[in-house]
Amino acid sequence: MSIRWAIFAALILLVGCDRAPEAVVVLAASSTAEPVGEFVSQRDDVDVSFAGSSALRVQIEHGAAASIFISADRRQVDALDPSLTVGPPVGIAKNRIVIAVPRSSPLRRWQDLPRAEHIILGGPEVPVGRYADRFLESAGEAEPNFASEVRDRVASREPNVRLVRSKLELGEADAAILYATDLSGRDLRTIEIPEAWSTTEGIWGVALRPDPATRAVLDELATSDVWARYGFERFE
Amino acid sequence: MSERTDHTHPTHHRTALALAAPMLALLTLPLVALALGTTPSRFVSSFSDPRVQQALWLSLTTSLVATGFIVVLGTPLAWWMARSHGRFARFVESLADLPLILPPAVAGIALLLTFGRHGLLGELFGTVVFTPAAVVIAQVFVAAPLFLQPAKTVFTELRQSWLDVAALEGATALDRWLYIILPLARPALISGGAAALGRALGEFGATLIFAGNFAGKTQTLPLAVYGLLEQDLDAATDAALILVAAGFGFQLVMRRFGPHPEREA
Repeated sequence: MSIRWAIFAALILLVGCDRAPEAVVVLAASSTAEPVGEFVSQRDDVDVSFAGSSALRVQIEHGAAASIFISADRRQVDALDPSLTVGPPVGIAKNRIVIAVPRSSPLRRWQDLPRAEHIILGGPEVPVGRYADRFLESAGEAEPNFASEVRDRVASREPNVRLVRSKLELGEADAAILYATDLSGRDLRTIEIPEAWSTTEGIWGVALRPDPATRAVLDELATSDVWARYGFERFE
Repeated sequence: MSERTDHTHPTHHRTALALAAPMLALLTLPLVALALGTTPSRFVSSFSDPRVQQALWLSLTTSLVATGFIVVLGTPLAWWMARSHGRFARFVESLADLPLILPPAVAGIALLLTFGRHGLLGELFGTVVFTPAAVVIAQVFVAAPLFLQPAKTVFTELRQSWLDVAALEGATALDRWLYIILPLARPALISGGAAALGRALGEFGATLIFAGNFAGKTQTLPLAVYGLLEQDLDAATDAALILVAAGFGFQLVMRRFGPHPEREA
């Protein structure tokens, strides 16, 4: 999407412009746009750029001048070459996947999902899509044909979770699988997925630079109450 | 194409090349960098990736169909714009250029608001979203102006007197099209069609929003490249090169069939 390219271009500019060293640049997963956005808006020494976690990892691997990486899974953090990170990854917040439907939808339970005509999932390369695949697999073991019936209805696999949501909000899809926190304040209804299948690896952060300012911002962000305000749960 | 620049003084020619070099470098260096990022054997083996094959096939078929629609439906519009005077025609001309300005993602939203389930024409077309037809519609929408502009220009340049004379000599409307208008306009129509085809091949944003991203159905090569970018940068680079090669091949073929005429004064 063009917004993401714009972000990419902006990042390249950031790399090229040799920013003042005191600015801490945070690259954060799309699903954390609200909490991280609010955190950043309260401080003027932190800049942020949002995209799918996997896109951010690619940017970091190709030299994006970033200080902190906030990912919607553990995998993208672990996939980074250790020489690029400083210190161990920090578990910041928990999240879970849910089924989202328009308010008027006749669907009530997760077992109803195959009745949706168009279902939207995240792409297999982004965390939310991977979690959805995992749910379909596990649920398929409990409920024969569930996974294949759902897959027959999948109309699109979007490159980030916010595009999944907008397809639903535009009325083109009847159901989507996204994070519970993506639905706060939205005109959509949530259908819960059983806990055993809905848990995610959670939001993880890792420092990419050794300076104390980076460490301080990561610690502050990890313990900030912005997460709870947008429905994220604490890691215990 | 003959080297008309030979007539000018060699020094001027060199000066022109020196002045042209920065733009040439900007246009070609990124492609060179892309090509340097792969090896011939890796590039060849990337063709065997079924994801890439599937997406390439979808890209080629949809963009060719889209170009067909653009030429067939665009020619009458270009003719009408070229032959109409008055404010309404000028207004339509500006409208027809708008897709060039629209950010592709916004174009995608606009298409949903038109052809989507709840769109203006949703009753008729509500089922096209998430199908290859939606890919074609998105491509036609964003690429058509690249055909319409040169087509309109060449139709404007055709002297009405030639057509009037032909009509006096007994040529029917069809004769005039087949023997006068199309032969004279052919180079412009073909290069316009080639430009539109190139744009259709590269279409990304409007397709993602309007048609979605589903392998084998709506995932064109640019969408596949974007997905690959987040998993395997090498594979993404190779797939992008295939796209570039396909586009370049099309341009060469179409230019063969539509040599640029020596411009008459």
